[in-house]
Amino acid sequence: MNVHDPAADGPLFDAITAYILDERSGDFEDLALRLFARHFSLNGPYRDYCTNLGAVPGDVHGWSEIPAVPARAFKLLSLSCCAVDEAAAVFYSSGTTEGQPSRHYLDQKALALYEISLRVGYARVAPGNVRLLALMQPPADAPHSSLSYMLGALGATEFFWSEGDRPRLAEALDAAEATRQPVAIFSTAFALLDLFDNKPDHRWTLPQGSVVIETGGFKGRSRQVTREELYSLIADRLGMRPPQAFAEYGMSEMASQYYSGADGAFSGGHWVRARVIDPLTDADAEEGILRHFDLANWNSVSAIQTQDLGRMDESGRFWLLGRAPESELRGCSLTMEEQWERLAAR
Amino acid sequence: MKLLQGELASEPLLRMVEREATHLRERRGVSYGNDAAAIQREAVRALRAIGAPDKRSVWKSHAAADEATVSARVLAGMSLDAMLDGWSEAELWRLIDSEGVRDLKSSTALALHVVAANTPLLVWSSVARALLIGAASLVRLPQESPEIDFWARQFQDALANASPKLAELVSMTHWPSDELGATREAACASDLVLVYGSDATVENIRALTPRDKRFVGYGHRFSIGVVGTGADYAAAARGTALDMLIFDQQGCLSPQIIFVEGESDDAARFAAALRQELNRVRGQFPARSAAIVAKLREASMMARFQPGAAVSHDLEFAWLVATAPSIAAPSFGLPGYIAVAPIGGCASPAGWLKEQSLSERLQGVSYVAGANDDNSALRAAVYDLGASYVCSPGWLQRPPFSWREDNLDVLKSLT
Repeated sequence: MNVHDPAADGPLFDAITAYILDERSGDFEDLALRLFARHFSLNGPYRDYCTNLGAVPGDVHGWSEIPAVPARAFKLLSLSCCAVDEAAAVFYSSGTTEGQPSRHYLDQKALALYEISLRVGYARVAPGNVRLLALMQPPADAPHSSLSYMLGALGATEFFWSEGDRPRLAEALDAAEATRQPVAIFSTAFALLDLFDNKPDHRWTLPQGSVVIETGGFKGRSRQVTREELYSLIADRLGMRPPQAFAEYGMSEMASQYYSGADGAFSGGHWVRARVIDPLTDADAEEGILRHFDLANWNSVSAIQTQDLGRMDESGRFWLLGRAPESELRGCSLTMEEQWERLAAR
Repeated sequence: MKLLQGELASEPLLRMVEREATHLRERRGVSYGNDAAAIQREAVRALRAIGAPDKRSVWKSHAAADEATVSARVLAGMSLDAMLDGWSEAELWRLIDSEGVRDLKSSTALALHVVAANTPLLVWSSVARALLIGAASLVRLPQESPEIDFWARQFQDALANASPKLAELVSMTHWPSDELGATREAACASDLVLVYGSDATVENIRALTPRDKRFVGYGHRFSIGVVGTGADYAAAARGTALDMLIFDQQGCLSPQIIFVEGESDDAARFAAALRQELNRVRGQFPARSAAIVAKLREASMMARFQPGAAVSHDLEFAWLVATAPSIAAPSFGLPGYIAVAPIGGCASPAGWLKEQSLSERLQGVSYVAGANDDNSALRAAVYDLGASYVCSPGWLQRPPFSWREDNLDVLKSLT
C-alpha cells in the first residue's frame, strides 16, 4: 500500500481490532504496513522524519523497516494523527529529566484500541474476576497517567496511594487472607516498598489464584531496591513468588504492555513486537537498545525506540538490562534546547 | 599547598574541613599578616614565574608522558598556554588596575572553590584569581576525575616551586557532592564561595551557603559559532573541529551550533568541510561508551525530524554533524555532536538570538568574517550578542586569563 485512503480508516481499525482479538483474523505485516501508511499520511512530524530517512509507504516492505522514532520525540513534538485539541486523552510520561514529559495523544479510536489491547494483554497473564487492588493514584487524580487509566479500564475500583489509604490496604489484604478470596495486586514498585516499609512486622499469605504485578521502578524516589530484593520482599511479605509475582513493562508512548514470565523475560501479545538494536550499527543485536512495534498505537506512531537496554532470545522475549544512563555530567555546558525549554516554561 | 587524599577514612570529614579552613586562615595570618596586598604582590610574582615560557615545558612534558590520556592533556595544555599568556607581570597588573583591585584592603581571607568535572583547568584560574585578591583557597575537587587531579597536581607543583609560602595558602581535597554537611561547613568557614557546574549544583551549594557570605556561581552556559559569507570554510572547519575536540563538546565554551551566513547550500558546504576535518582528527576524540553511542544515535534520529536536515557521523560516533535547513537547529549537548544551520532567512543572528532570549545564557562565539565584510552587519551583530567571549574558530577553548566569564569582572566580582 502506497498511500493511506481516509476511507480505509474504518476497515483498518476493524481489522486491527479483530487481529488483537484473534491472531488468525489477519496478517501482522499487512496491518503494520497499512498502519504505517496511515501514520505517514496523517502525522506531519512523522511524515517529515520518514521522508528524511527515505522510508516512505511503498518503499517499506516489512514491519521492521518502518522507521522507529525515539521516545524522546514525544517530549518535543506532537506526534499525533488528529489535531491535539481533539485528543480524547493525553498520557504523560513520569520522567522529568528534560523538564517536560512525553505527551501521547489518543483520539477516541486510539483509546478504544488501547483498551482492547490492554484487556486482551492482561487476560493473557492474570486471572479474571478477581478483586483488583491498584497501588497507584486513581484515574481521577492522575488524568494523564496511562497506568492509572489502564487500571481503571481493567475495572479496578480500589486504588491505594496516599498515606491515608494504608489502613484500607492492610484491611483488604487481611480480608483476602481471611476469606481465601484471591486478589490481583497491580502496583508500582515504589508503592509495594512503601507497603512493606510501613508494615514492617506484617506478613500476608495471599490465597491461591492471586497475583502480584509490579511496574514502574523507583524513578525519582529516595528509596530503591534491586529487582531481586523486591521479589524477595514480595515472597516474604505476601507469599507470592514468580510466576505469580511478575512485572509489567509499558510506557506512556505505547498502547500495549509486556509482562514478565517466571524467568523474568518479557513477552507481549501477538500484535506487539520488540527488537534489540545495536546503537552503533542500527542493526538487530542480542543485546542493545529496545525498539517496540505496537499495532495498537493508532494515533501516533507504531515503532518506538526506547532508552531501555535489553537482551533478546530467539523467540522474541526480552530481558530488561537497565536504562541507558543520562549523558555524562556536562558541568557548565547548556544546550540550546534546554534553554528554549526553560524559556517555554516561564 | 597540599593535595589531600586518603585522609577521609582516618578522620571525620567535617573535622577535616574545619581543620583545613582554620589552618589556611592561620597560615595567611602567620605568613602575610593578613595583608591582602602582600599576598597579591606575591601572587603576581608567582603566577608570572609559573607562566614563564621556560617553565611551561616542564609540566607539559609530564602531561605528554601519560600515554593513556595524552591527547586530552596536550589539548588542555593548549588552553593552559592561552591562560598563561595572561600571567605576565604586565598583564596581571593591567588586569588588577583595570578592575581597581590593587592594594585592596580585602576582608576575603578564605575562598571555597567547588569546581566542575568537565574543565580541568578551572583549578588554575580560580585559585589564581583568589590569590590575586589576597585570599587563601580551599578547593573541593570532583570525585573520580583523574584529569582534574592531574592538573591540580600540576598547579600544586608549579605554585610550590614558584612560592612555597604562597602554596601554603591553598588546600585541595575531594569529598562527595552528597556530603552536604561538609560542603556547608566549608562554606560557613569561608568568606567567598565560588561554584562552577550545572545550575542545579550552583543552586544546591548556594542554599548551603550562609547569606552573609559572598557567593559567585558559574552555572549553565552555551556557545555558538558564526561563519560569514565567503569565509574560508576549510579554515573555519579546522578551527571548529579544534573547538569541538578540546573538552569534547562538554564545556560552556564548546560550540553547540555553527550558524553559517547564507542559505542551506552554504551551510551544507561548511558542514562538508567540517566533516572532512572531523574525520581527519577523529582518532583524538575519546572512545565512546555504549551509553553515549545510544544517545548519539537518538540525537541523529531526532535531528531528522526537520525537513531537509542531513545527519552524518563516523562509524564509531566520534563525531556527529547535523545540518539543519533552517536556523532552528537542534542541539543536544552530547560529546562529539554539533549542529550546522544557515542564517539566510533572518536579518542577523543577533536579532534572531535576541528573539529567542538566548543571549542571557550565551558564553562564547567563534566568529569568522566573510570574504569582504570587515564592517558587515554580521560582525556588528556578533559583537552585539552579549557573549562574554568572541574569538576566531579554534580559540573558543583558549580564552585569556582576563576573560570575563559570565560577563563578570575577573577579580572585582570576588571582592
